[in-house]
Amino acid sequence: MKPDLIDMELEAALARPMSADQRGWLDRRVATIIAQPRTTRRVFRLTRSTVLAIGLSLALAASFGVWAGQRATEAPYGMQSAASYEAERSAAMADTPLPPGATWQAWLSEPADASAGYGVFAGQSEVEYSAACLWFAHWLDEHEHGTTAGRSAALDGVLQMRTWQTFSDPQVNRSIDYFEGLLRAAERGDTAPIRAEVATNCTN
Amino acid sequence: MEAVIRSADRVTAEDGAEALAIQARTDPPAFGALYELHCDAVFRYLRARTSSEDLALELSAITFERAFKAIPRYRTRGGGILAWLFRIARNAAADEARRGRRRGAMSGETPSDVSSPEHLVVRAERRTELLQRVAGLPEVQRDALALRYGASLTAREIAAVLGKSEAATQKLISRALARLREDLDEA
Repeated sequence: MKPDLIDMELEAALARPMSADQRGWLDRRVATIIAQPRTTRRVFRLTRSTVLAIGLSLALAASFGVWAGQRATEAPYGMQSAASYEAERSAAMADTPLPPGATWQAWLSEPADASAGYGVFAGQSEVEYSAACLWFAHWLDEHEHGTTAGRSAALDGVLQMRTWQTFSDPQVNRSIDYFEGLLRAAERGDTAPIRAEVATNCTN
Repeated sequence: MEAVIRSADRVTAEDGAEALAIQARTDPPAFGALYELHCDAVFRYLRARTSSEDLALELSAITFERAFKAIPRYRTRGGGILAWLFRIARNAAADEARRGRRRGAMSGETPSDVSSPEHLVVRAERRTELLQRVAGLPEVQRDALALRYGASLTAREIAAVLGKSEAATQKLISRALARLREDLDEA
C-alpha cells in the first residue's frame, strides 16, 4: 500500500458519517437529555418552612417512587448521582442470578466516582452485562465438559437474559438483535459466536 | 430538534462556536446547536476508537450527556469548546475500556458495503485489515489517528485534546502512519 493511499484509506474508513438511522437515534437521545431540567447549584436559606417543604417533597417522591419504579423504562436517560448509581448497582446485583460458583467482579462493588456523571440504568446495565459474560462462559464450559443436565441448566441460564432489561429494552440497548443472535446460537448449540463474544467482550 | 438545527445554521465559524458554548452554559437550545455542530465528528472519533458502530453511538450519547451536565462550568481555555468536548469523549471511551465491557469491535459487525460487486468486497476487506492494524497501534497513536481521520481535526486541535504540543502531535501522527505502512507492507 502506498503512503498516500493509506491517507485516503484511513479517511474513507474512519470518516464515514453516521447513517440516518444512527443520527435519528442520537438526536432523540440528546433531545431527551436537553429537555430535562438542569440541576444548578443554588444557595437556599434553610428556614423552617424550607425544611418542611423539602420533607414533604421527599415523602411525596418516596410514594411516587414505588409506582414509578415499575415504569422506569419510559424515561431511562436521566442522570443520577453517584450514590444513586451505587444503589442501583447493588440492587441489580441482588436481583440478577449468577451461574453456580460464580461471583461478581470486584469493581462492581467499588465506590462510584462522585465527580462523574451517571445515567439512570447505567448501574443495572453494567451488572447485567457482567452477569451475561459469566453465563456465556458457564454455558461454554458446560457445553464442552458438562453433563446433559448441566448443559440444559446452563442454556436456561443464558436464555433468561431475554427477561433482563439490558437485553430486552431497545431504549436502553441498541444491540438487542446482536444479543438475540447470541442466544439463538446457544439454543442451537453453536459455540463459535459465544466464544467470540467472551473473547472480545468479557476479558479484563 | 428543529429549533436546534435552526440555531446551528447560524454558526459558521470557530469564534461562533465558542460564543455558542458560552451561551450554552445557561441556554439548553444553544447546547443543542453545539450538538448539531459536533455530533458527527464525535461519533466518528468514537467509532474509530472503539471499532464498533453501536458502542460509538452509545458513547456519543454519554459524551453529550456528560457535556450537558458539565457545560455550566465551562470556561474558554486551550483548544476551546472543541478540545473540551473531545476530551469528554476521550474520557468516555477510556472509562469504557477500563471497565472491560463491550471492548473491541462488536463481533459480527461488518462494513456496510460488503455486498457485491466484487471490488466492493475487496475494498471492504482491505478496510477491515487497515482498521485491525489501527486497533493494534499504541493507544495514543490510535487516539491521534481517530481524531485526525475520524473527527477531521487539525494537528493543532488534536494537540489541544491530547495536551501535547502541535509539533509533538504531528510527530505522533507521522509515527503512527509510518508504523501502519510498515505493517501493511509486511502483510
